[in-house]
Amino acid sequence: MFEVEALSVSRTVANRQQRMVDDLRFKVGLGRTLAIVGDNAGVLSSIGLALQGLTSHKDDRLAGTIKIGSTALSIADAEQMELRRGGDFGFAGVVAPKKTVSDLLIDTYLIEHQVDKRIARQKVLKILEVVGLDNVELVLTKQISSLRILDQRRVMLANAICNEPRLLIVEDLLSDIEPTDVLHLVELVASLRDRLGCAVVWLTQSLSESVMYADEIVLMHGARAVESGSRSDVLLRPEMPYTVALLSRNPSFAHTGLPAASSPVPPGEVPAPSGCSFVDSCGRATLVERGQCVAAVPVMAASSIGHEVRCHLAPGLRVRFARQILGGES
Amino acid sequence: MNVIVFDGVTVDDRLTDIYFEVAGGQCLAVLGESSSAIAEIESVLLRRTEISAGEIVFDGAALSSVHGRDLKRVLSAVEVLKSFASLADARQQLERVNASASKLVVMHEPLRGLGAIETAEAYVLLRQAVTSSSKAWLLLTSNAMLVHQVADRAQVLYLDRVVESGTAAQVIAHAQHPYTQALISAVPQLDPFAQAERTWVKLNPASGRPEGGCAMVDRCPFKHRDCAEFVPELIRDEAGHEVACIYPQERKVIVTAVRRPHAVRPMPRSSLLSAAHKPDYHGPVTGRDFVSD
Repeated sequence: MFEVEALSVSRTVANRQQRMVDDLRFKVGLGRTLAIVGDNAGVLSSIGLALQGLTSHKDDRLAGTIKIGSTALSIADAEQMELRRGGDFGFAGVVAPKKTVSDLLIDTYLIEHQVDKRIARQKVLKILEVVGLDNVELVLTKQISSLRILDQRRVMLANAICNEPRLLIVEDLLSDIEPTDVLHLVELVASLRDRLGCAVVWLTQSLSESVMYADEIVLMHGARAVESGSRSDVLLRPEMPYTVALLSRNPSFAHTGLPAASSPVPPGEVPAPSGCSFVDSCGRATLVERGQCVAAVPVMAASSIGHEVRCHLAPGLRVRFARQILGGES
Repeated sequence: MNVIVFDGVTVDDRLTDIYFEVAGGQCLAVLGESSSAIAEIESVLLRRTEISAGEIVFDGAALSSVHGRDLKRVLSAVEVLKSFASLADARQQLERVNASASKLVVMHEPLRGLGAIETAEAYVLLRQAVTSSSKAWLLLTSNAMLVHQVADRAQVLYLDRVVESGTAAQVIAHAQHPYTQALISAVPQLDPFAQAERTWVKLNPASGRPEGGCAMVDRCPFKHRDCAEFVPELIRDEAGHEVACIYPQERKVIVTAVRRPHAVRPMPRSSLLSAAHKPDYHGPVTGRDFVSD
């Protein structure tokens, strides 16, 4: 079990501190896939890096803890996190396109294995087969950018699983992938997860895409998580007005266009505001004292077992509001 | 009146026998991946590529008989939209096109640069632009949801040939060709309960073009032994829906159930993927194990 508590990433922009990630927490069990769905690519990549104790800007400050089994690590403790990076975390995200496949993978493999380079090469060839590549000897000699996109993503995954991680972090894996290859990649990640017995954290901008692979979903609005729970909690029993707005604006094969009644969903601003980040578009903020929604950040609170919502509204009101917008049985 | 007509357009072995016509106020989508010839359609239309057979008629003029300055004048009535960088950019480009005197608008993957939320809004913008204009619209894309949201008619291109064609409703809601169904399967759809009842059509990874038979025979999950022998022709039913498959069959690939939030219904604990994919899941990626010695 991986447990992340109070993960924050602060960045100083023009002498002012802003939160790229504000107080994120989640749990993900081995053999399970958790999707973190965000509306801001910068926030998502900050999370992906922070989970490995890394930052994208040298001035970014990390805070929070990550529990791996019974061991708790401070995410800000760069030395400890670096020691863990090889065996505990595998990251499938952007890799240097100019590198050859063999440079990338053999280097990664040697981080955790004290073996001869020739043996490392043999192991890496096997890993390339595991991610579904053919002609692995040839692929190994190629520059990453010269491969077709599906194969580049396979190499990204191979790089992430080189050291048999217990947590596989996947970022933006399906963008620009040909439609007929999408299911192959989704299945490949599921089969790697089952084979390694690891947990998967999948970072994506698309809520509907996460339906294909997620057991659990954390939905972010800007820098903050606003609703989290099992896939069916978030999609079928949503409570946070942002989730409801997002679902009501979801295009469907059942009809064309979007419902005229619901307003467009504005993306979350990166700096975490001092009140609820959805207050301006909520339309329900007058129900509680508006002052409260503007002045205080709601806490992430349990609505049922494993289902958490960040909203000042009373739970009964949230459910009634969701039914009004989305329809549904009482 | 038809603004643009493709009459049996062929380019060597890259584009074979393409027929379609688009009238003013109409949107035709050509649905296909980048491995297909959808980019070729744009380039023959703009005369960047010469055709080897057939004819393109634009605004009443056969394009192959127009040259030089005349060609430039004729093609000035074709507007090519770039991929939108943002919703504001989409609005701006569509407004400009609407105000221009062009007769045909060509869009190639217009939404590629947009995020998930912006994409949903852009479907609406595009649909509004198409229905409120008297221009002809040609949409080239691999996104089946975009076709459903925006187009009046659709043709599906696999490699160089059309494999399915009809109204957008026929091609998407009643898709019969496995390739069309695979493109629809790849579109993320939300209802997790309906997912379990859905057929996921997954093609094998792209391989070279087979000798003879259906071009998709090595990739098709429903192939029959006849498929390697006969090249399927486009067969038209009485409603005008055309399919090039020896054994066409409708499958439940789209999610049309109305979401029922807050209904308490048991949800299978196992992951959706393992439940829905088991039938065509052939075990792990390879049999070999790489975990330690």
